[in-house]
Amino acid sequence: MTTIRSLAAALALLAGPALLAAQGMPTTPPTPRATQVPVAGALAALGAPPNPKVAVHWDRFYDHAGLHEIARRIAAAHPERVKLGSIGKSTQGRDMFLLTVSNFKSGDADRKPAMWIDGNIHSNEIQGAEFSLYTAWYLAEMADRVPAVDSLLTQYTLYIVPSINPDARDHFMHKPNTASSPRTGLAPRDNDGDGRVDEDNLDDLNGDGHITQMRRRNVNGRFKVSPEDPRLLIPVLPGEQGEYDLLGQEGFDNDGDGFVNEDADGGYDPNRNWPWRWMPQYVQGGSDPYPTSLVETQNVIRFVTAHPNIAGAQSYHNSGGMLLRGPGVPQDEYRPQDVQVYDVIGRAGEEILPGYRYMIVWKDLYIVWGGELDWFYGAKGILTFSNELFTPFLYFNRQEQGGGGPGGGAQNRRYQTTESRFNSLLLMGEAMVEWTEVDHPQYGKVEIGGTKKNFGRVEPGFLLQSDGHRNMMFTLFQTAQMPLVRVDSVTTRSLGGGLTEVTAVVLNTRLAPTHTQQDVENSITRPDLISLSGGRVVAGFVIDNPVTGDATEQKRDPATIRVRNIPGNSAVRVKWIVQGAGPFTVTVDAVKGGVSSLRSR
Amino acid sequence: MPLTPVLRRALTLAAVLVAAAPVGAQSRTAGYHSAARLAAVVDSIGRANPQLVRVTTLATSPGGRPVQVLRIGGADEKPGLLVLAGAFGPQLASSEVALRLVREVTARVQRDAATRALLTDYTLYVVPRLNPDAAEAYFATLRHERRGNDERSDDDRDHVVDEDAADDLNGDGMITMMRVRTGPGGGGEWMPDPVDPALLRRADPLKGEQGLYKLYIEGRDDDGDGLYNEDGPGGTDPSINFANNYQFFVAGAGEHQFSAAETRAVAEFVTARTNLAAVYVLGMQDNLIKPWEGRRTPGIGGSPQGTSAGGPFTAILPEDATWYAEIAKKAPRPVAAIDPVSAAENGDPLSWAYYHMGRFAFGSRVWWPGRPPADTAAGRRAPTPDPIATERNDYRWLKAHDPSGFVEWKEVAGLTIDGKPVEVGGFAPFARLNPAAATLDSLGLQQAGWVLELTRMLPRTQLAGPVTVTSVGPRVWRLTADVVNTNYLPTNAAIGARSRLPRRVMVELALPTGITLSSGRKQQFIESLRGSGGTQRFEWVVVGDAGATLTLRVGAPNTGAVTETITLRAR
Repeated sequence: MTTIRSLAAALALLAGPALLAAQGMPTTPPTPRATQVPVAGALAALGAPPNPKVAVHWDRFYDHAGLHEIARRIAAAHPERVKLGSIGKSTQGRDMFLLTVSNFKSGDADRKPAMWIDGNIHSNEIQGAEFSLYTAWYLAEMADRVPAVDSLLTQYTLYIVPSINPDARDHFMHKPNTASSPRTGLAPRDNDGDGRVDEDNLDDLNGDGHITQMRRRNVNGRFKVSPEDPRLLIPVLPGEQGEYDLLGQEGFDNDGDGFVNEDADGGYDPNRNWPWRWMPQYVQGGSDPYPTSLVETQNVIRFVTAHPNIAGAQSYHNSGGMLLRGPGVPQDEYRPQDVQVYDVIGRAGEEILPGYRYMIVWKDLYIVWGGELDWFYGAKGILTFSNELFTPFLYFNRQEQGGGGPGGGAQNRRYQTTESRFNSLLLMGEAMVEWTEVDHPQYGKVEIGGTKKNFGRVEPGFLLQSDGHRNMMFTLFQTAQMPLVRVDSVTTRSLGGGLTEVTAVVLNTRLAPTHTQQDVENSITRPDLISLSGGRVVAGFVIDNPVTGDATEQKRDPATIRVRNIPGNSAVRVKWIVQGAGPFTVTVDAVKGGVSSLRSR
Repeated sequence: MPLTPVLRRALTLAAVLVAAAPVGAQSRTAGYHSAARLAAVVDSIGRANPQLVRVTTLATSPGGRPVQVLRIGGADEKPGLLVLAGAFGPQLASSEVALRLVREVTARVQRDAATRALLTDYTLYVVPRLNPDAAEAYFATLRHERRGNDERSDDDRDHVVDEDAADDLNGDGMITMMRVRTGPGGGGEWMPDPVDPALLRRADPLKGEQGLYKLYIEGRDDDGDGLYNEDGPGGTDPSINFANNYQFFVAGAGEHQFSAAETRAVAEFVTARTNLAAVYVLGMQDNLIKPWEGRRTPGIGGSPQGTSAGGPFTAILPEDATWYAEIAKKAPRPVAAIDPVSAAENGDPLSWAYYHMGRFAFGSRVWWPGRPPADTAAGRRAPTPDPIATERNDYRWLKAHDPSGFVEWKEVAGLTIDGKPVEVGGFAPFARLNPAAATLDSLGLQQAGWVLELTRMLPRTQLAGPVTVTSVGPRVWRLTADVVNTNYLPTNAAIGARSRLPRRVMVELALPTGITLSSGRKQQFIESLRGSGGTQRFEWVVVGDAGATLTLRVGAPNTGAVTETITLRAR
C-alpha cells in the first residue's frame, strides 16, 4: 500500500506544473489533482517512447519554473546522456538553464562537434522552449531504442537553453498579454522619454488573463461585425454604415499623461542587441543603447565563445513557418561555400516541415541589424538557422494568404476566415474572448473581446507535439551535417637509412566544413591539427595533389600539420619523413570536427 | 605564474614607493603620472574638495588598475559635460592635460565666483585615464608603445597568444624600429627619403625606385614564424572598442564592442547619465581644428541613411555641422601653425558619443609636434605632394626641440637577418604624442578655460516669463507658456533628436482634481530648441475655479528643469 501510495504521489509530481494550456485554459497553475498510473502502452507508436522514464505532457506550455523542473527530471533520469547546468542569471535572477545532451561515456562532450539550440528570445514566442526541451527529452528517452539516436549522441553534443528570455516568458504566462506581447525582456526602460520606466502597461480590464481589443459602439465607426463570424470586426467599405470604433488594445492611461499603454514593461528587442552589425535605434528599433547591454545577450556570448566546438546553431522564434538563415542585412554576403551547406539543410527542412519555407532574413523577411543569428555566423562562423515556428498552413494543411486579427484590412478577409473557421471547426470557439461590456476609466462603456494570447502564433495543443517533433528533426538533421573528422588511413614506406615516409588520409565525413568560409577568412577558429607520434619527425607536408604527389612543406613544427580547413565530405592528405620504423599514431584534432586517432600497422 | 590583478597592483604601488623612475628615463617621465600616482593625486583632489568633487571608480582594468571618474560641481541632476581622456594608451598627454584641467577648474572654483556659479548649475565629469594598463608602459624600464590593456590576446589571429613580443636589440631601453639592409634586389620595399635620409619611404616601382630595406618593429622573431613582433603583450585597445563603425577581427579591437571592462563602464555610465549634454574627448580624433563636415549621403540601395534600409550615417547631419563649424572657431589651438592628423573613426569614443549617444561630441588631439623651423637650404625642400609629410614634420620638429625623440639608425653589431645587417632607429616611443611637462601645464590651463567655455554653452531651458492666464469665459482659462533655450547650444543635436538620446525637453502640466483640460496635451515634447533664445509656445484651455492652482514642469535632464505654479486668475 505504502509503495503504491508513494508511487502515485511521485506520478502526481511527474504530471508536472502545467501553466498555460495550449488553448484558453486559465493562466494560474491548476490545483494538483490525483493522477493515476499511466496505462502501459502495448505497442509503441513510432517516434515516441511508449513508456518514458520521464512523463511529460507536450500539449501545453510551461512557465520557467515548469520548464526547469522538467529539465531536472530529464537530467536526473538520464545522467549518462543529459546534464543540467546554467549559462548565467537573467535580469531578474532566473537561471538560464542549459541541458548538455551527449553520450558522456564516449569522450569529452566539450570536444565533440556541437549544436547550440535556444528558444524564446522573444518572450511571447514561447513554444521554442518546449521544442528545445522536447529535443532533450526525445533524445534521452529514445537513445536506447533507436541506434541512430545513440550514434548521434556518441558523435555530437547538443547545448540546449530552452529559454534565453525567462523573465519575460513568465510575464507572458502569468500576466495579461496579447499574442505579441511582451516581445522584450524585462530590464526596465523609459519607452516614451518622460523619465519614468514601465509606468503605463497594458491592462486586463475584464480580468481574463488576455489582452484583447476594446471597441465602442458608434454609428459612424469604421468597423462592423463580420457577417461570417460575429466575433470578428471587419472594416467598412466607403459608403457602408459602420457600427464600432476600435480603441486599440485593452488598457487605460495608468499614469495620467494622456497616452494609453505607452510605456509597458521592458521596451527593447533582445534580438537586435547582438554585436554583429549592431545599429542605434534610429537605424534599428529596439536595439537598446549599446550592443550587449542585456545580461542575457552577454551570457550566451560568453558560453558560445568558451565553447568553440559549436559548429551549428538553431534559435527558435515564431511565427510564419520559416527556416531562416542570414544575412540580416544586405551588406553581408554569405560566401558560396557556406551557402551550399545552408541550401542542403534548408531544402531538407522544407520536406521535413510541410508549410515551412527556407528563407533569407533580409531578402525574404525584413532587414535585421544586430540579430542573434548574424552574430553566430558573422563573429563565430557558426552555421545558424532560426525557425519561425507555426504557420497558418497547419490550420487546414494548405497555404494561406495574409494575416492579422480582428480589425485587419479587408484584404485579410480570407485569412480571418481561415482563423475563425479553424476556431469554430477544431477548437469549439475556444480561441476567442466573447465581447463583453466593461467600464473604462477614460472611455466610459466599452466592449472587450478578441483573440486570446495563445492563438495565432502558437500551435493548439493537438498540433504542438507534431510541430515540435518536425522542427526537432530539422534541427537534428542539421546536427548530423556538422563536421566529423576521422583519420582514414596511415600508410608507411621505408626511405632507407632509418627514415620512414608516413602518409595519412584524414576525412571529414559530413556535409559541413570544419571551418565555414566566414571562419577561414577571419581566422576565427584555429586550424585543424594533424599530428604524428611514435617517431622523430624530420619534415612534414600537406599533399596538394595525391595524383601528382605535389606537396607543400610546413617548416615550423612539422610534427603537427596545421590545416586551415577540411571541407565537407572531403579528404586531406598529409605526409611526414620520420626517423624510426613505427608504429606511428596520427591524430586529427579539429575544434569543430572532433578528435580522432589511428595507428599505422 | 600570472599575478592576480590585485597582487600586481600592490607590487606596482610598492615599486613606486621604493624606487624612483629609472635614471635616464627621468626627464621624459617628469610631470607624468603612473597609474598609482594618478590615482593618488585624483583621490587627494577629491579629499581636498569634499563639497565640490566626488571621485568614483568606474572600472578596474584587467591589470587591476582603477579607471576613475571625477564629478565636479553640480549633481547628477544638473546638465553635464563629460571629458574623456586616455583611451589610447600611448597618448599619456591626454590624461595629463585632463588632470591639470581638473586642478585648474577646482582652483578657479575657489577663487572665482562666476566659475563657482557655473559649476553649481552644471556638472563636469572627467575620466582622466581610460586605459591605464597601456599607459603604464611609459614608466617601464623598457619603453614600448602598446595599445592594449593587460588582457592576453591573439593579435595576429594565429591562435597562439602573446608569442612574439618586441625586443630591445640595441639595449637603449626603448623599442623603436629595425631595418634590414637588403640592398637592391634583396626584397626590401623601403628606401631612404632623398631629403631626410633618416626617414624611410616605400620605394615606388612605377618611378623605377628600388627598395633597399626591410622594415620591422625592433625585435627578434621569437616564434620563428617569419614575422617580427607580430603578437606582443597587450589585449584590447579601448580606443577602438567602442561601437560606432567597430571593426571585428582587427588586432586590439577585442571580442566585440564594449568587450573591455573599461569601455563597457563608459557605455553604462553615459547611458545612465541622461543629464550629459555633451562629451569632450581628449584623444586621437580631432574635430575642433578641422570641424566635422555634414553630408547627406544616400545609403544602401539609395535609401536615406539613418534608416533600417539605408543603414548608418557616414557623416554628421548638416544641421549639426553648422554648430561644429561655429564652435571650431571658438576653440583654442593647442599647437600653432599646423593641423593635427586624426586617427580613423573606427570604434573610437568620439564618433560613438555623437552617432550612438546622440550628443554633441567634441574631440581634441591635445598635442602634436608643431611646425619645425623653416629649412631652406639647397636640397632640403620637401617634395609636394609629400608622401611622408607628417613623419617629416615630426622628425624635423623633434630634431629641433627634442632630439632624443628620434633615434638615429645604427647597425647592431653582430646581428643579421638572412645574412643582412640590421640597423635600429626611428622615432622614440611616445615622443610624437607626449610633450615636455611645461607644455602639459600650459595645455592644462588652456583646456580648463575651454572646458568651462563649453560648459557655458550647454543648453538651458526655462520659461520666457510667467505663464499667461487669460479668462476666456466663466471658469474657462487659456494658459500660454513660452519655453526658451537661453544658452548657446540647441537642446538636442539633430542626431540626438534622431536617436532620442538624450531625452527631449518635456512640457508637462499637472492637473489637480477640479481642473479639467479642454485643449492641449498634458505631456508634450520638444524635438529640439535652438539656443540663444529659441522659443516654442504652448497653449492649453482648462476649466476650473478662479484661484485654483496647477503646475507646469518644463525641461530635460540635459537642459535643466523648471517648475511653475499657475493660479487661475486673470492678470
